[in-house]
Amino acid sequence: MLAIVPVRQGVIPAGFGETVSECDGRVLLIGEGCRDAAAQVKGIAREITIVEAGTFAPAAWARFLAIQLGGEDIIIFPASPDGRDLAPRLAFELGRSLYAGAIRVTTQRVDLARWGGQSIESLQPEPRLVATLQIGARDVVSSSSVGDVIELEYVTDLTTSDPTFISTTQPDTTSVDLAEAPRIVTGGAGIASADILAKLAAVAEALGASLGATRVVTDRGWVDHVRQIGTTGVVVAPKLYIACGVSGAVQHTSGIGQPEHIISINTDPSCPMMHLADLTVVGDVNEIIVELESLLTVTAGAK
Amino acid sequence: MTAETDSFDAIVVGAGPAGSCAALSLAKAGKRVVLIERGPFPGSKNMYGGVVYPRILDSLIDQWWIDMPVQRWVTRRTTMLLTDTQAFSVDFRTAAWGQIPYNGATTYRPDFDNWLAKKAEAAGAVVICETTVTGLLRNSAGAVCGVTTDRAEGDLQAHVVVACDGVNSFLAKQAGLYTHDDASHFTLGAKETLSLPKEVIDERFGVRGLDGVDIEILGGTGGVSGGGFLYTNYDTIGVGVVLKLTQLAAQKQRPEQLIAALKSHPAIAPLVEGATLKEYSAHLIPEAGAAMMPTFVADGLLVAGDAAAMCLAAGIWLEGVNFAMASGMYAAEAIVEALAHGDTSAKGLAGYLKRLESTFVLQDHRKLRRAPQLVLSDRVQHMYPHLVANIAERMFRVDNPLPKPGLRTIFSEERKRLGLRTRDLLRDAYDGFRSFG
Amino acid sequence: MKWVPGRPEIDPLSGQVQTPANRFGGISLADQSALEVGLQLGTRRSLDVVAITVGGTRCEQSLRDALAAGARRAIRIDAAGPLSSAETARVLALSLDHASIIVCGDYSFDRGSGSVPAFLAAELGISQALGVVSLTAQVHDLLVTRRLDGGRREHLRIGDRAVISVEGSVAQLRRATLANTLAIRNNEIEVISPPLTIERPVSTSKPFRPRPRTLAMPHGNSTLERLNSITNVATTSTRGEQIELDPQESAAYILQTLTHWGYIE
Ligand SMILES: Cc1cc2nc3c(=O)[nH]c(=O)nc-3n(C[C@H](O)[C@H](O)[C@H](O)COP(=O)(O)OP(=O)(O)OC[C@H]3O[C@@H](n4cnc5c(N)ncnc54)[C@H](O)[C@@H]3O)c2cc1C
Ligand SMILES: Cc1cc2nc3c(=O)[nH]c(=O)nc-3n(C[C@H](O)[C@H](O)[C@H](O)COP(=O)(O)OP(=O)(O)OC[C@H]3O[C@@H](n4cnc5c(N)ncnc54)[C@H](O)[C@@H]3O)c2cc1C
Ligand SMILES: Nc1ncnc2c1ncn2[C@@H]1O[C@H](COP(=O)(O)O)[C@@H](O)[C@H]1O
Repeated sequence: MLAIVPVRQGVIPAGFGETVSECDGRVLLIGEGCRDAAAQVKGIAREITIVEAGTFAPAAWARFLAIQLGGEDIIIFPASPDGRDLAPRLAFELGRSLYAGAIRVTTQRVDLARWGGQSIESLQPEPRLVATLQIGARDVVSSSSVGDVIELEYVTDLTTSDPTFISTTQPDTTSVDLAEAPRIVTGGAGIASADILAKLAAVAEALGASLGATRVVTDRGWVDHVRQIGTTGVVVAPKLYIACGVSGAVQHTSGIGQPEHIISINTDPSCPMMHLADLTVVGDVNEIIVELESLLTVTAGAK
Repeated sequence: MTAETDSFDAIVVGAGPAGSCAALSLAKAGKRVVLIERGPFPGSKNMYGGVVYPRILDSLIDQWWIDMPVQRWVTRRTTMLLTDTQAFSVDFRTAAWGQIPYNGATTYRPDFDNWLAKKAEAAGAVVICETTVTGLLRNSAGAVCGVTTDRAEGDLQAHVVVACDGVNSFLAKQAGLYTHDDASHFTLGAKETLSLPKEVIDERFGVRGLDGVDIEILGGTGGVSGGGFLYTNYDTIGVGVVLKLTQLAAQKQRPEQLIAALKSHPAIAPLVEGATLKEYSAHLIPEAGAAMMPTFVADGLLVAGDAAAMCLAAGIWLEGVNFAMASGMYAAEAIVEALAHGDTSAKGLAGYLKRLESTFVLQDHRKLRRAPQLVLSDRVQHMYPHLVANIAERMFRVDNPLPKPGLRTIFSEERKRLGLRTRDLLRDAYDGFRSFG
Repeated sequence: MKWVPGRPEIDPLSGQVQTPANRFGGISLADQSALEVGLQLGTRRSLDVVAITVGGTRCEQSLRDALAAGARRAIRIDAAGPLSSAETARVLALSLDHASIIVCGDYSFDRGSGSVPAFLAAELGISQALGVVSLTAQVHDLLVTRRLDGGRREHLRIGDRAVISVEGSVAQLRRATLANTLAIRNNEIEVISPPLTIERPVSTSKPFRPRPRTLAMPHGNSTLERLNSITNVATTSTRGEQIELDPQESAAYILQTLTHWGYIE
């Protein structure tokens, strides 16, 4: 089993630790700044291969990797944006099946998250495969034995076609406030309208918290996409996390860090988010938000 | 701009039972008809208690029972009188209602309405969803000649418009067909759908296979006048209340509290125990029947179903879907007639009224016109359930060593205890007999 | 297969509706967004927009909606059962070799892996830009911004043919006019039935539950202390408290708890 982790400017993506652990410490780093990155994965990886391949170019990299890695039976990428882009292209080049969004990969069995993380599908995999592993799907095992770092020389295949890279930008300030916020209130699909979400924003403000959202809500266009928390959104690290109408899909919860206190409001007492919470409130979140807002404005007014 | 792509003979607004039957009937007669529905699909937003009496479909859909989405066939009907601690039931069952031609069936409205609209579509009607009708178009003579919708390029013309847009019809009001608009004419229906395994339902209600139960309840709604119902679906049950709107508002009660109270009544609790809530919904019901019906036709416009207050909500009867289907069908027949004569004025469409009057639609309403008031009266709501239940309790109680009292003695003692005047009793009995007898 | 003259622009919609509760199904918000992006690009560049989907007859409603919204053609590639992402992309590619820009959604409802677009780009041997959060069409090029992890963004220029996948927030699908909705209702949806491999993996489904985690070695000298430290019995954790009250009472309880935890005074 081999983990492939795309690297940008020496930065490794979220989920690399889980992927490397799933592959028992064997990793190939490809991209820009792999030598720096190799230093960061040392406590986890025991066998590191690096490929300095410049900026992200999924078509060309896949062609290159396919030639190099024909002997690897199981290849796993982290389900980070770059991992998800590269994995299908490599699977295609190798003519193998792709198991996307896995939460477990072994030679005997692959578990895949389906329906936005609401259900798991277990299947018996083909012997040679490519998979992407959900971020946060497992824990990271540290490894004490570190072997040598092997470097492979990258050769571009000129027949492949990739977009022209312009630049990478760091998170803009609107999402930084979220990334560093000590208190976060998140709205999910249980929120019935943009109006209620606006009320939730007011509640968040009154509590000194920042507003976050799940993908369902950002996709509805009710808040800017920079407020999306999770695998493909921002990864946050609050002390207090209040989830309003959020089911708790892995792609979301993998981005919420380890809050000291979690409150979850949901009509469904058995959804994953409720299992994580310190206080679970079973009820219609829309009605509760209205009440919270009026309670908070009353107390604010009284001061 | 107007949609010029087609011209239609008729536009039917609202794909509930009334609208779909109107469209189906028109399409079967070869008319070009469009059925406009605001929801994402027909029935998506519609709710009701749970029982449909589909016999009226005999003439529209051959062997409708073959593919109609049915939860259970009602073969057992119970009427219950409740006081806080007592229940008096009349229970009837017949195997006949579980066989062709059937009587009533429980079904989910999203399934049923969608099925009916699909029948209309298959017959040639054009069904357009996610489109809300926002107003009526009129020609220079003032006759209705089409509708406006909330879509761009959304005006649509036709010879006739059928308003089947449900209770509190915006179109009928806009056309000035309602002369009164009074909250006391409405009741609020609220319902919970509860999941239970099929076997548990079978056992608790004493039914098998697709046989089901319909329970109508008088009393049990606390201080608010109204009634309740409980219907069995395949693996859910519907429990709800029908409440007088004015009292509900005055007493600041929430309908879900009253459902909760009903569910905890000793006669109901064992039936719903352990069930999990799947859905809650509420909807207005035109309750006053004949007393609040609008004018049914105007030039180029007909009103059918709840839009015309045709729901029969008279105590132990809660029927609206059959009235809606029938009125939609009769509206269509009148339109076909009018189109043949080239006269779609109110006069030309008068065949609609004739049909309504000569069939159950208005005859049942006439007959039961005093029923809603009677059923919602204070005496029926708050005294008679006690009277009946107390009498029953004393009749069946064995007070040895005391001898069994006579029915007449119990009756007059209980009447006095509740402060009921004989005069009122006789009058209600007379009204009741005239209505229900 | 009959092609309209000109360079068609193709927009794969997912119409997969084999779900439990799927009268309410349809296409994902991302696919709606993709259709809108396609329509806007089509107008800007005077290209024909084609909506294409692999699926059963039940996706035809989505295709009709696409026509009503302004797509020039609608193609359904007939598939009765579930296909793998790779197979979906393979059959889509058969109809897409003329397409200049292929706009996909970033996820479909059920699979949601976002891998079809990448397979499609691989099949066609063209470039890809996935997880796009905004895009600007210039005269010849498309400038797109992709979402990376950790709130970072990648900016790319796309010159030639490419597959892009867009997030749901990029554009909101326009509402078709009533005139169009009526006009297209008799339009044929082109149906193609290429030979294909239906996926029949032996699989089981169950509700999502996280994988068990290995806990760090608990602190404490005695077994009891270690046990306490794992189970938190010494601390006053309220983890797992559940309430089900009136909305107003719930709200009050939440604020009370926040006060208890020290977040509000
Ligand atoms: C590759 C990939 C990447 C992804 N990245 C992200 C990401 O970064 N961030 C992200 O958030 N998602 C991401 N997703 C999507 C994720 O899988 C889920 O679909 C999403 O997080 C679900 O959001 P939700 O909880 O708001 O919606 P749902 O899962 O639909 O849950 C809604 C919840 O609200 C409850 N509810 C409904 N009505 C009410 C009410 N009236 N009152 C109270 N509760 C109510 C329901 O019981 C349910 O639990 C990604 C998916 C994939 C495949
Ligand atoms: C709690 C309750 C319990 C009931 N129980 C029963 C029962 O057990 N049995 C029974 O037979 N009846 C029952 N009824 C009554 C029954 O539901 C109605 O009488 C029946 O639905 C009337 O049908 P309709 O087609 O007239 O109207 P509706 O079913 O209300 O349909 C109206 C349609 O028009 C659409 N619409 C409205 N406005 C517009 C617009 N502007 N543009 C486009 N579309 C529009 C709506 O979306 C809807 O689909 C009950 C009612 C309630 C509230
Ligand atoms: N059956 C299909 N037909 C057409 N397009 C599809 C199909 N399945 C997936 N896609 C496209 O690929 C995107 C990602 O899907 P997925 O890989 O299933 O998450 C979707 O948003 C669609 O645009």
